[in-house]
Amino acid sequence: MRKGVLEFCILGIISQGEVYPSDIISKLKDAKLIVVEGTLYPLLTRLKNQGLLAYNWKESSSGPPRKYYSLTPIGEEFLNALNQTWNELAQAVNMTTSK
Amino acid sequence: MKKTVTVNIGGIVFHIEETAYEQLQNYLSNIKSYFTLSDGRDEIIQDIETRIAEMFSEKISNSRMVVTDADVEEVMQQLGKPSEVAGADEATTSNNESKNQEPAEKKLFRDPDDKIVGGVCSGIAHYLGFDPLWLRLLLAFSIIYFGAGLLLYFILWIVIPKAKNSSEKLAMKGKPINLDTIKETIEEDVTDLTERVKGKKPLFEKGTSRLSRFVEDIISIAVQIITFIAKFFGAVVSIILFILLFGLMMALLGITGALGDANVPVFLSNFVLSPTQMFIAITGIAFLIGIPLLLILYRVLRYLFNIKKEPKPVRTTAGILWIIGFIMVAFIAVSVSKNFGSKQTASVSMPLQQPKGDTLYLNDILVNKSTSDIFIGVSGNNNNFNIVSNQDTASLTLVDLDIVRADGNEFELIQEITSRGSSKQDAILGTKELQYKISQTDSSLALSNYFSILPNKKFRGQSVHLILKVPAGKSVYLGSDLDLLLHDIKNTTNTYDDDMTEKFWMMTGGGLECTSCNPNYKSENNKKEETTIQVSVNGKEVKIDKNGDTAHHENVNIHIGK
Repeated sequence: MRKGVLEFCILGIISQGEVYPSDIISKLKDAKLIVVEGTLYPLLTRLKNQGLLAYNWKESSSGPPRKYYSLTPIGEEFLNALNQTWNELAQAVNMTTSK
Repeated sequence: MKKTVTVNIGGIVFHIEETAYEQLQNYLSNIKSYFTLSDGRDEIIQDIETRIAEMFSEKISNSRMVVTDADVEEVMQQLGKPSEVAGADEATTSNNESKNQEPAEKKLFRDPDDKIVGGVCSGIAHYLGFDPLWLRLLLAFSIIYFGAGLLLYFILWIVIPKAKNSSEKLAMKGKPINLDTIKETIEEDVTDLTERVKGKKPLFEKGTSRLSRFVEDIISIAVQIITFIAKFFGAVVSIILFILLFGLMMALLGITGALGDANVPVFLSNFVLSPTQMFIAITGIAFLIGIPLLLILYRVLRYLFNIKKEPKPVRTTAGILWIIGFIMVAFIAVSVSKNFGSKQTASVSMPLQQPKGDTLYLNDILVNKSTSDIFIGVSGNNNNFNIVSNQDTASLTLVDLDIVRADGNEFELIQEITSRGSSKQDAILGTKELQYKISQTDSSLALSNYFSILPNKKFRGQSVHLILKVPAGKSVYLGSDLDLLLHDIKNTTNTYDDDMTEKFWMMTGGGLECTSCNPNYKSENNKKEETTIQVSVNGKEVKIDKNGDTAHHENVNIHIGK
């Protein structure tokens, strides 16, 4: 469950514009969805391998070049589908749990 | 001073302490081990390395050029443990589930989705992991040929629970219970249902379903009946146990009537235990037996009035009190057994008048029991062990008698008193704290079959062993009740002690010899030497008087047994 939600959130963050992993991490950390940074990298790689994400290298003023991620068309489609499912689920949960 | 190495991380050169380098390398290879090549392992590692390089370069400045242990520690903390790194991405590891994850524990359920009658066969087949068809064939075969299979099937039907929900169905098939698998089973159910709705499958399974529903009803009734019977028997057993325990406690605590006349406590309190010990013992026994009693009573009430389970504090308190009771009783057992630790024997020669004739008549003074006395008895045929006690005295029938050959020419009586005690001195004292009575009139010697503990003294396992020494050629007559005292007396005919009474015995070299056992000799009870034997020799006549053996013969040899 958490896993799917985490992916959903990551895709959501990326959909707002090109980001590099540290940005994603800080946002997820603020939302307390992620505890340690390391978890993010395998996830990103998998999403990329599934064709949902693409990246391009950008030079950094300090340190090594950074990977900036963005959504592919498939990724956007998938995110929409996820959004829809999420809303349905949220509605269902609200309906069943509220008295 | 530490040695540094130069490394290339993510395309940037760093100077790093050797220890820190090793640590980092371990960390990375550890993460690496969690992924396979197909997961994109190399890329993941590369990304992580890049991130590490980024973090390092934030720490490095012109004044601080070397990456230290502490830096590596901090980076590792921020990235997380290798297992955490891999753990968040379960989907990648799910392919290797069998490798990484222990198989979920299988449970035995009846399968409601794949059933002919009750789903027993398919349930067992799931559990054992093969096709239910074979089990069904085997069952059909066993029903046809042996009949027993049917009974077995019904028993299993009752015993094995039905898999009611998704998680039970998963446990039945041995699948791990998580969201994915539950989703799977629900989807299966849904497709099954839609197929039925669309008419691909019958909406309700005909025949089998009706049959199984009918049998299911019968079984649920049977289960109810069996439960009722089990509860009923449980109640009966509880009540019997209750009565037994109650009786035992009453007997031990001194309320007479439960075990006949036995009243152990008064004897124990007056003659074995000190008042403190008695108090501890009674409290301990009350806890030890009383608490199970109360619990049984409580259970029965609970069952009768449908009270909920007893609150935990009650059970805890009961448990603790029971253990305290146990400890108290054990403590008393140990401290009492200490009082019986040492053993001593005192030997005394008893005054004895020599009988006028050659025969000593032995009799028995039996223990007297008055109505106010307490009587504790273990009665065997002749091995009676009795304690007759009142508040002041206790008489114990722990006396035995041996008859051996005397060295000299006189009868002798030796009394050996054995006692136990907490120490040697205590045991010696114990031998003096009892009273043993004998009485003699002329040639008649009466021996008590009991001894008495003196008032205010304690019973310390005393016993009295008497040795009567009979000179060779002289005799003893053993009175009728003397078998209560006799203990393994050596005699020429190997007669049992019990059979030795009411007979005359003469001491010979090989032990006692029966002189009244001749079949021709007509035994006369309590025949004394005073019995006058008149022998008038009047030419031909011989007359033995009083008890009247008369014989008329010319030449008669008369033999009168001694």
